[in-house]
Amino acid sequence: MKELTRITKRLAEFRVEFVIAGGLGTLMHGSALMTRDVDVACRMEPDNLLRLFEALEDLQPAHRMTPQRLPFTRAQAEQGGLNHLYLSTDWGQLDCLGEIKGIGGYAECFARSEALDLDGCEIRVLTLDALIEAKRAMGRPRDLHAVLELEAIRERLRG
Amino acid sequence: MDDSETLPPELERFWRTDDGLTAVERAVAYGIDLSLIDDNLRLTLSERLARNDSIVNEAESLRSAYLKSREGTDTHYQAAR
Repeated sequence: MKELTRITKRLAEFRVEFVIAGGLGTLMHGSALMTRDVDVACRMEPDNLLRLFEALEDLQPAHRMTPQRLPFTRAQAEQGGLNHLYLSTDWGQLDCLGEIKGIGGYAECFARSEALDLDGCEIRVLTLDALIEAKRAMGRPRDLHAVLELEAIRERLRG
Repeated sequence: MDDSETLPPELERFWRTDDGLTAVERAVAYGIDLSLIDDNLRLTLSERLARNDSIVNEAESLRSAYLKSREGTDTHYQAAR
């Protein structure tokens, strides 16, 4: 069962420092494309990773790219030194990225994000312009579809 | 990028923005149904996310049911599970 909304709100409730990017960000800006995971730019320092771990602790977080789906542990969070985390959880997939192609690291992503209200939770999301740049930098066919939708949305919103 | 993500050459031109089209015209030319986007823009943020969760879960349920129905009848579908 995918519950991407709950994952997003859970991260905010535990004060994880993150910026929504990827397909979920595209969707939040109004795209009709569906998404199956949560991609976030994340500050990958131990204090933030510890909050991330505590947010996910009861959701069986595991490294989904490892053959045995090894668990994401408190010790790993405390140790730091991670660039990216590709996790599976009981509520769906969560990718925590230390860098977003075309934008940069967490600080650059934060600077190019805006705060949106999701049922009382403040969620930071890459701006429409930043998402378009990120998708253009990725350059995959599925990104082209997203770019075309986002650019059309930007034009619609500007009237 | 694997082979399934190769863009047909005739679509490469849609990456460009110097084609004289507006963004909306380019999206329409690509085949995007703008009414879906307009519907989405009318929704609140919470409603957009809830709809995504619902559709993705429905699609996964259908896929699971389909694969289960093919169980034992086709090795291709067994491999897809």
